This record gives sequence, C-alpha cells and structure tokens, in this order.
Amino acid sequence: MPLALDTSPQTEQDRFSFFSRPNCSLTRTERDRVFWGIATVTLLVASVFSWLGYWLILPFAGIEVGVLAWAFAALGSNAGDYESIRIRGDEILIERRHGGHLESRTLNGKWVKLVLVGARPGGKVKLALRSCGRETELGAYLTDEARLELAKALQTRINAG
Amino acid sequence: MAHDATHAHDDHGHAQPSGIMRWLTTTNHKDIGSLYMWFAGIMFLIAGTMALVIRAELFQPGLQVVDPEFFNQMTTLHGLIMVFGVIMPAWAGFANWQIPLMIGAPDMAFPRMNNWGFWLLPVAGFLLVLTLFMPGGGPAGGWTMYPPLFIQGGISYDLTIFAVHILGASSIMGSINIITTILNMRAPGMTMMKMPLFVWTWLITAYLLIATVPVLAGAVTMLLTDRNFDTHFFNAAGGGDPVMFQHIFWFFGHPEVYILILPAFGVVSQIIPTFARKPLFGYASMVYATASIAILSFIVWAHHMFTVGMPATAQLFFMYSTMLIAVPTGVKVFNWVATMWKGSMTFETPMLFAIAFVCLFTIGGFSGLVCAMTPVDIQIHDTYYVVAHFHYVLVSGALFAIIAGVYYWLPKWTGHMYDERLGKLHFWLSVISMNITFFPMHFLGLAGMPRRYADYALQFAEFNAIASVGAFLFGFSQLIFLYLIIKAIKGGQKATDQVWEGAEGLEWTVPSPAPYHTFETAPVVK
Amino acid sequence: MKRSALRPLLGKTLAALSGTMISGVVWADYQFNLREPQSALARDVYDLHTLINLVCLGIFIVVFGAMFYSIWKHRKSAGHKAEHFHENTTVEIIWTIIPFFILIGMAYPATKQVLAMKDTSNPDMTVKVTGYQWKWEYDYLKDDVKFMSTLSTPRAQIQNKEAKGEHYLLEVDEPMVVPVNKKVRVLLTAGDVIHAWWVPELAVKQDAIPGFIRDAWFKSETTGTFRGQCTELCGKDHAFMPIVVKVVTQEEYDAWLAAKKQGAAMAAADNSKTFGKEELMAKGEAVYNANCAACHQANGAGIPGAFPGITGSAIATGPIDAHIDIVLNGKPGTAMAAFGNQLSEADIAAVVTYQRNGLGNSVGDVAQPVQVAGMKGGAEAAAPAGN
Repeated sequence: MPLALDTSPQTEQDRFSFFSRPNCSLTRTERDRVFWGIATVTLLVASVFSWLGYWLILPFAGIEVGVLAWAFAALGSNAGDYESIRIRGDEILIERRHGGHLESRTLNGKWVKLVLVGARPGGKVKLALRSCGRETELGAYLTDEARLELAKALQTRINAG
Repeated sequence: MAHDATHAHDDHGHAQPSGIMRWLTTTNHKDIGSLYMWFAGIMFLIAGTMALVIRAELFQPGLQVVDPEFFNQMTTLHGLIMVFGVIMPAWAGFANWQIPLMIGAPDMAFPRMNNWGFWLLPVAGFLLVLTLFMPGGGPAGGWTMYPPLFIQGGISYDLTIFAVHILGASSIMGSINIITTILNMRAPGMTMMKMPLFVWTWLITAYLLIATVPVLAGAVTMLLTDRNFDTHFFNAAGGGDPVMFQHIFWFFGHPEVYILILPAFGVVSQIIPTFARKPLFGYASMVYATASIAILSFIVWAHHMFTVGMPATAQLFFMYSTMLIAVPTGVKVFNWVATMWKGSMTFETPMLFAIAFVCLFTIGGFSGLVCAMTPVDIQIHDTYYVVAHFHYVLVSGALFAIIAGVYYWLPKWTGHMYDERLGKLHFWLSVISMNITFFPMHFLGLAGMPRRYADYALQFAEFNAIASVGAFLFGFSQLIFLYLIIKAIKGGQKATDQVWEGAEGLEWTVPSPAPYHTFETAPVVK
Repeated sequence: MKRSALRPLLGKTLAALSGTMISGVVWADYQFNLREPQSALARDVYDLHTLINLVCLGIFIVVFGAMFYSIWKHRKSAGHKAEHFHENTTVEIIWTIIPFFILIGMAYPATKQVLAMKDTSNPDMTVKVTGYQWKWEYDYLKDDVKFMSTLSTPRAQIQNKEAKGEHYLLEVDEPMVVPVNKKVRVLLTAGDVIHAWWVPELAVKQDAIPGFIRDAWFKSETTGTFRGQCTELCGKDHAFMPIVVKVVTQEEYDAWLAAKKQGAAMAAADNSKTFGKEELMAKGEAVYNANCAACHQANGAGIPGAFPGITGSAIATGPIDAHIDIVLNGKPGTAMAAFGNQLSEADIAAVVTYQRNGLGNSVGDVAQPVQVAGMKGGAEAAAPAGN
C-alpha cells in the first residue's frame, strides 16, 4: 500500500514541507443529510407511539438522537483537522488544527532535538520535536512506518540546517 | 523493511497498561473485536447449556429433570442470551475487527465509546445470569416479555429489564460508531458502491438498530413502571392494552431478527466469491435487496401476532407485506448460486459452512413463507413449527455464518491456519446434528405440540427424543470449534498475507496476523 | 409388496434410533403433517399448507439442483476454470418477477380463508371461554350453563409415578360439548394473563386476552372428541391446561344441556346451605387440589421464593375474614387470582375451611357459604359507592 510522504517544498521559501490530515470521506452536506435521515425516522416512530399514549419511548429516542448529534458534531469539528510542518531557513513551523482549535509553534532549527520512541507492544511509534524543554508530537495521522519515514526525512533536514 | 526499524526501539517503550487493565482500557478496534468475540463465545456456552437442560427435560414425556417453573426460566434466558448476548455481540466483534480493515480506516470513529460499548455487555450478561440466583429464580415469562405474565414475577424480572436497558445502550453506542466509521472513514476511492458487502450489510444493520432500540427501551421501561409504579400502559384493568406491548415489542422485534441475519448475508457474500474464485454475481442487486429487506422489516411486525384477533384487513396487510420479503431474499439466494455457477470451487471449512448456510437458511425461509400465510400460521403459531423455523434461520443461518466468518478470517486475526481436518469434522458434525435437532420440530409443530411446554402428550415422544439426541450432539460438537480456535491462537501453520487464493479486499493486503495498527494513512482504492 | 414393507421398517428404525423404547407406554405413530381436518375451514387450511409445501419443494429442487450440480461440476479439483461473468440485468429481473407472481398465486386462496375465518356472523350458538391460570371456563351464554374445565391427568402420571394414559395431558374433567354441524362462535377472554385457545382439528386458535373479548368460530362436520392445548405462555402450568371439545349429535347435546342445568340448580342450592365441618373439609380438599395445589402444592408447603405456603401462613391462621377476602379478590401484581368469579360460594367456604384445618393447620373455625356471599355482596355494594 502506498505510504509515500509528500515532503517536497510547496513554496520556494520552504526547504521542507509536510502536510497530513485524517481521512474524512463524508462531506458536510452528506453528514447533515445522514443525521437528519436517521433522526427523523427515530423521532417520528417515537412520536407516533407517544400519540397513542405510549410516551416513554420518546425520551429514549431523544437521548439517542442527542448522542447521534454529538457524534456527528464531533465528526464535523474534526473534519478540518490537519498537521503541517514547514522548514524555512532555520525556522521550523509546526501547525496543528484539532477539533476547531488551532495550535502553532515555531522552533529554531538549531535548538531542536528529534525524539523517536520505538513501537511497544500495543503502542505506537512516538515522534516529537523537543525544544526549550517542550515536546511537540508529530505524525498523529500516520502509520508507524510512515512516522519513521517522516523521522528520517526530518532528521536529515534538521542536521542540514 | 520498516518493520525491523521499529523493533530496534522496543526497549524505549512507555509504560503501557498490561494484564487485565490493558483489556479494560483498550480502545483498539482489534482488541475490542476480540473481546466481543470471546464474550459471545462464553455466553454461547452458558445459553447452550440452558438449551441442553431444555432438551434433557423434553427427552421423554413427564417431568424428569426440572420443574416447569425452572423450565420456563431456561427457555426465557436461553432466548434472551442467545439473541442479545451471543449473536449480536458476535456480529459486533466482526464489525470491529473487519470494518476498519475492509474500508482502509485506522480504527473506529469513536474508540473511547467503543470501549464503553463493549464493557457494558459483561455487566448485562452478569445481571441476566444473576437472575437465576434471585428469590423465585430467573424470569420465566419468555424472551418476548409479554405482559400481564411479565408483571407477575419477582425481583429478577426487574433485573432482566435493567439488563435489556444496558444491552440497548451498548447496541446504540456500537451502531453509532459503526455508521460513522463506515460513512466517514472510508479510504480515498472506496466509494459506497465499492464497499465490501459485509460493510454494506452492517451499515444497514446499524441503521435498523438505531431506529428500533429506543422502541425496545421504551417498551421495557413501561413494563417496569407498570410493575413498580402503578402505571397502566399494558394493564387492561387500568385502561391499558396488553396487546399494545406486543405491537411495540415486535415493531422492535422484527427489525431485530434482520439485525441478527443481515451481517450473515454479508459474510456469506464475502466467502462464496473467494472460494468460487469468481466475483459476486450481482453486487448492486445484493445491496438493493438488503436495503429492501430492511425497509420491509418495519411493516411486517404483526405477523408475529396473527392470533391476537386483529381485523381481517390488518391480517391481510401483514400477510402480503411479509410474503413480499420472499422476493429480495430470493434475489440473494439466486445471486449466491449464480456466483458459484461456473466458478472454480474449493471446499475449505468456511466455504462448507457458507454452502450449508445458503441451503439451510433457505429451508428456514420456506418455513417462514408457510408461517406468513395467515390461515396456516393460525394453525402453527406458538407451536414447535415456529421453533423449527427460527432455529433454521438463527442456528443454520446466523450462527453458521458466524462460524464460517471465524474460519475465514481466523488466519488473518491469529496469523495461523486452523486445523482443516478438524474443521471439516466440526462442519459435518454440526450440520448433521443441527438437522437432527431441528427438522423433527417441524413435524411436532404440525402435529400440534405447542412451544414453551415442559411436558407433552405421548404422540410427540419420538420426535422429541430424536431432537434431544441431536441437540446434545450439536452442543458437544461446538467444543471442537473452541479447541480449534485456541489451537490456532497458540500456533500452527503460518498464514500468508493473502490467506485464500481467491480472496479480494483490503484486509488481505495487510500482514497476517494483522498488526496492532493498520491503515493509519489511508490506502488508495482504485 | 416391497414398498409397503418399507414404511413400517423405516418407522421402526427411527424409533430405535431415538432410543426411547420404554415399556408400558402406548406410543403413537409418527405424525408428519397437520392433524386430520374435521371442518371445511380446517380442510382448506390443510390444502393451502400442502400447496405451499409443493411450491417450496419445486423451487428448492430447481435452485439447489443447480447449486449441487455446480458444486459437483465446477470444482477446482475437477479442473474447472472460473469464468468471470457477473451482473446480468435480464436474469436479475426475471428472478425478481417470477417469485412475485408465485406469491400472488399463493396469496389468493389465503386471502379467501382469512376472510372466512374472520366471518363470525350468524352463529348457531355462542360460548364464552375464559382462560385462567391454568384452566378454562366455558359459559353457554343463552343457557345459563357455566363450568370450569381442568386437567384430569393425575399428578402421579406427570411425576412418572404411574404409567401414562392414552390421553396424557390431553384430558379434562369437564369437556366443552357442542352439537355437530352447527356454527359455534367462541368469545374469548382471560382472567389473569394471556392464554390461547386452540383446537387443531377445527382450525381455530385465538388468544384469550384479559380485559378484551375476541371471537372466533368453528363448525365441526363430524362427531368426536377433539383435543387441543393452550398456546400462549401463561406461567408455570402452561402445558397443563388442555382443551377438549366433544362434538355430539343435537339430541345428545340437548340431553347434556338439560343435565347441566339441573346440576347448576343443585350447586346454587348449596350456596345457601349450612354445612358441617366434615362436609366442608371433604369438599374443600377437592377444590384445593383442582385450583390451589398447582402453586401452593398438594401439601400446602408452596414453592419458596415463588409461591407462599399455606401451612402456618399468617393468612390461613389469622382472621377468617381476611382469608376469605384474599381468596375472593386475589392479590394484584401476583399470580394469586381472584377466585370470586371462578368458584361458587360453597366452594370458597369449603376451601377456606380446608386450608385452616387441613394442610398442617388447625385453627378450628369454619367458613359458611352465606358468610362468603356476604363478603362478596359487600364488596359489590361498596364498589359503586367508591366510584
């Protein structure tokens, strides 16, 4: 299966760039359509029974549709997630968006250490950049193999800097 | 290989929960899939033992082994546990293991919820078994829980209702997870009409669960309030209607039986093309047939209640709608046979079980058609004919498909081939004893033996004795299956990544055993 | 010659296989099909069932003939190479349409029968049947004849202490009696939980639902005794409440009815009589065994956790009025039924006396029918005032 990383510079200033995002095969409209499709049937059925006097089905249907709404909202907020790494001269720019929350950090390439912790049984390979006593984990959406590849690519770029 | 590189760093491992904590806290879809499977296996042994108690009592007329009260507890718990504690968790296990592998997703969409969804099950299973040790014994009102009988019992009836609530919550979490995983986490290129049929059937199953489980939860809650808080939903003396419970229950119950069987259609549709070395004959029509069955399942529920005294128009409506289900079901069977036609077939154990499924499930379908005809159903309703019918669709249907699926994917899960010789022995013993057990029940029902009877008239003695012999043979044959699984986990011939010559799909592109993490970067499907 | 010899041989082999050669019991033949129909409707159902079976058999042979042919011919071990055809719209449409038309062919006779079964109009007579845990009550509405029908198979046979009789579990003390060739409408209801009233030979099955009245009908074309059983799970003795319908000629029916009316008059007289203790005890034991022993057990010990005992119980040794009250009105939410409308005053007086002075109890007092009637009347008088 293809695990190749696209690490070629995207703009002329970048010596290195990496971009990855979780796979998301449902568009926003499709998501809404599916949610309302399910919720309507569930609530309709519960409403008919309530109308017949058997109203205790309705609260359960309500709770369920609530959980469903939460799940679909979570999918939505994660839909824009991404992680990007760019190396521009000595600067390493890390940008991460997670659940609508954007986080970015700029590191100085000279004072950075690459941390790589191997796979443990039941665990993942951990890849991080360490600078000023703070670690930033990378490669959240990658397989172990791809994370190692990314580590290799980063190591050469950091050293070269 | 990248594989070797990772091992070099092994000693730097973080502290990872081990032992029981690993399993309690795991959010990995493969771990949770295995947990579901083991849970289903354990509950199968418990509910199977209950079935053997029933068959032991029915071996001869007269009361020999248990008294009628305990007999009714056995039939009730056997039904509840087999439906909610065996078949459904087993399918959830398959879904957890296979769906991410088949659509190229790294895990389920909500791994934490996945963990909760599973761990609710042992609690519910424990409660159900616990009822047997309550004063007055377990619930004896049948798995269908019809009031007013279900109102009469003691504390164990409340515990049963509570267990059903927990099971429902677990099913909802599982289904939401499965629906979101399938819809949102397909690899690029994996369009809906390219999804493996097993994934399709589970998508539809999960939809049925989400639509009907609140109805079940509401129904049992109203039983609970009728029992304890003086409401009169189902109490005629207080202006309620006991028949309405049956309507509500079967509004859930009929989709529920398709929840049990649709994933079986999916598994068989994966296995037959593999061993026929030929693509599935009509992929699109299989998808449409599955969807039609699901939609029809919402408008046939009252065929379970032809004897409650509905008006003629209602009886006719439910008769016609029920008969219609034969059309998409027929399409499925024809498709499987057409897939085998002019293939290049081999008969490994998964294929044997799949062929037995097609043939025996169809017998269950035919007896279903007989039951659909209202005038005939009024004769055979609540007799052993019905018992024969639903065991043909659930044992040689759902259960055989589960067994076939386990044999099919076990090499991918464990990395070892199972013992083919023992697998064939397991197959022949199961298929023969299953028919010895359940085929005579058709005759018993036609001749007039009602179901849920601890004792029966003398003319039913011979077929009951035959069925009991078959049941014990079937029960003990399943120990071979357990032995085979443990043997394959412990070792054996190494499985290749491809495992089966004719297998197609993403799950066969990852190594055997499937590594702990797969597809964290989505593969591209052409 | 050969063929006729084969059948009994097959039967014997199967019986030997089943390993149930128990001496001293009469074993009936293997019955593979519905019971011999005794009414026009039952015959139609029988024929419909045969028709569906033949259709299914035909489809089965065609489809699985093809499958097993394919399994045999298109094996890899026989060197068959897989062809890669799939999707053929014509074939798929054909195999969707053909079953549809077969279904229509089957639905037509079925529809006619549903309408016939549902047509309960213009009956020759009407009987109200009430299901109780675990007995049936028959009420001949126009003739003022009403009686209980309970299982008459002795407990000893069920417990395997005696050889089982020919009609084991299919015999009752008082069968329902109806005349031949008359359309009998049955009104069904229940006093406690749902039961179902079924007579296979007459193709009549209807749930008996507490609080609701449903109807069904049958018209037997032959005289004889037809036996059915309860077919809706109704608790522990679900298997022990059979239905026996005796179909007789009109003259025999009239004679039976006259005798029943006379018996009813005598029972009514009992309700105003004052009995001696011995009489009450003897009558009470019979009533107890027929109505109470299923739960409270023949020795009064009950089943711990499920059914309370009578021996030494607070009710059976406490004030007599409370004792009569619980027998009359039952205990809601439990299996304890209200016997006020099932048993006569004399029967209740007798069984209360028996429970207080038998089964290991010795309170010493007796209940009289008049006393029971007073409490029954009191309850009835109080009810409207309360509303």
